[in-house]
Amino acid sequence: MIRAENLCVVRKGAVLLNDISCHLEPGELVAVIGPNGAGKSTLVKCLVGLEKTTSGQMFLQQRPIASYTPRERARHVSYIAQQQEFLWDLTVLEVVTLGAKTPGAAEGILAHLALREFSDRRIKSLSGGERARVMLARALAAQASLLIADEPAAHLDVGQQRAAMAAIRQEVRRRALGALVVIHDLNLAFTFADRILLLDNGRLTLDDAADQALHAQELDQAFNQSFIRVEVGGRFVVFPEEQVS
Amino acid sequence: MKPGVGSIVIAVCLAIAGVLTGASLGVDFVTPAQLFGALVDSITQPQPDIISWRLQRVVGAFFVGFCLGIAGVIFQGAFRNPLAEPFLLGSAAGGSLGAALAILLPTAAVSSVGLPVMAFLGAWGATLTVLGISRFAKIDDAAGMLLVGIAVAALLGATRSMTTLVLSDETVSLQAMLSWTLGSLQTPMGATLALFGVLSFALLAVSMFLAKGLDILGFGEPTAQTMGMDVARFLGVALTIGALTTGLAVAWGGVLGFVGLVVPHMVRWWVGERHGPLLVHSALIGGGLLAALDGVSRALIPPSEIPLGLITAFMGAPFFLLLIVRRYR
Repeated sequence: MIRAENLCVVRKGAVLLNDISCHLEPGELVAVIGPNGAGKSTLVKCLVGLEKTTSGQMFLQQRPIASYTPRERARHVSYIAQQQEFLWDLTVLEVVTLGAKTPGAAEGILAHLALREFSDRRIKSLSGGERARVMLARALAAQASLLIADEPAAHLDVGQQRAAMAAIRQEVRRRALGALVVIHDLNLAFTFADRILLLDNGRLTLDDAADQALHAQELDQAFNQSFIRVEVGGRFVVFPEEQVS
Repeated sequence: MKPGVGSIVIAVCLAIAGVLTGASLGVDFVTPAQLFGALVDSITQPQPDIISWRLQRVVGAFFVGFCLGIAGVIFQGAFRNPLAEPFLLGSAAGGSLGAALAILLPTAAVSSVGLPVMAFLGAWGATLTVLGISRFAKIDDAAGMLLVGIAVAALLGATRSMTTLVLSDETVSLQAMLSWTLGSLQTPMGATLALFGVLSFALLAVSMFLAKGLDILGFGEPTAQTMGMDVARFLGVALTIGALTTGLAVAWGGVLGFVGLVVPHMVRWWVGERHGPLLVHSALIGGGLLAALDGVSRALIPPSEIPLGLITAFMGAPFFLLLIVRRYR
């Protein structure tokens, strides 16, 4: 598990994260939501060691995260960045194999994510959505106990977004993966996540089970608008009030 | 074509063809049968004749191209810049300054060991300077880094010229230094050639350990770091090996531009972009190409010899321009 205590990040006088404490356990899918500039990406970058904290502490498996080498940390945590870069035009199988714990893991995850037909395709010949799925496959093939992903569904269409989140959730259930995923689409977050972290202006204003968080007033405050909660097929979805009216 | 045993066999055949072409060409054309005869004779008795000299010279050229092919792949991967190469990034200029100092300074150990060591130190220092300035200025695009490399190369080139002017005397003439800096091959003989060959293959073997890391760096430094790479340490090791390879090539080949750029690009089109196959194939093709070009440099206006650096520039500079046009169109 990964745990952050009283994280603060200040850059050029601006407070990006303010006294954040949170944790991620094996076997749960946690969605990080919040408006643009709330500090979601900064939080996940801190957790994977890409952003330095001004104060606070982070622990991975009860050990200070700073004491891990990058290789040790990668064995426990895999990460999907918001911006993907592909300098070399490798094949899909080569990309996934580079991240895989074993060669067999790459083949398995490609089949699992319905990417086997793309195995020999060059990565630069794929669409943005297909590339995002390949990077999800690369991260899952590492078979780390935790997955931290910064908007893995950003470039995907509606169907692919659900497929990607379903794949992550399946790994969470199947092998007790702990997943922390930044998601922009609130209903996608409430549908797939077990727990919600709501960031607002660098502060963690809500840390609650998804079905509870959906009804919280902090949601309206963070996005500065009133949401309407509607029950559809036995579960609730949210809409901005003006969108409904 | 998928890299594998088949592609390596083709690369080895091309390398042998390059060496045979280089050894056949010259003031007089020598047939492969005559070359083979000279080679067999050289096993039983020393052959100081022109064919034996030519063979050793061409094999030396092969290893210079072999090293430049490896260095090009390492620099392009480590700088994450497909336009990087030892010549354009100032590494070759640094290596040539180090080698010039080894030749000209009376205190430096002028020996078969001192020259490569100074060439390596020069290449390494120049590479780290370009990387350091680029990081300080937060330059992460290909064009910006090349501009830093060009500026550093110009500075080092001027320093080398000044050093040559001040320190050269009757024993080391200006003409000899000029010829060397234009890219003229030395001819390592006997044990020195064997050492050169062993070092070249050893550097290829060591550089293979970098291959996976160079592949991963293509995802960007943040992703590479989260995939378990200690990026700063890896770059330090990669650039040291790149500088060693450049230093070795510069010590025996002088300043030969564009080989490290052209060869990895051609090989990429052939076997794809994974760095493991790229290193092996670029070394073999680079070696074969330079061996053949060495023959061309001796055959074009006999009995004079055109500095090899001029031929690689005539061939490589238009290729570089082509890459730039393709990149920006």
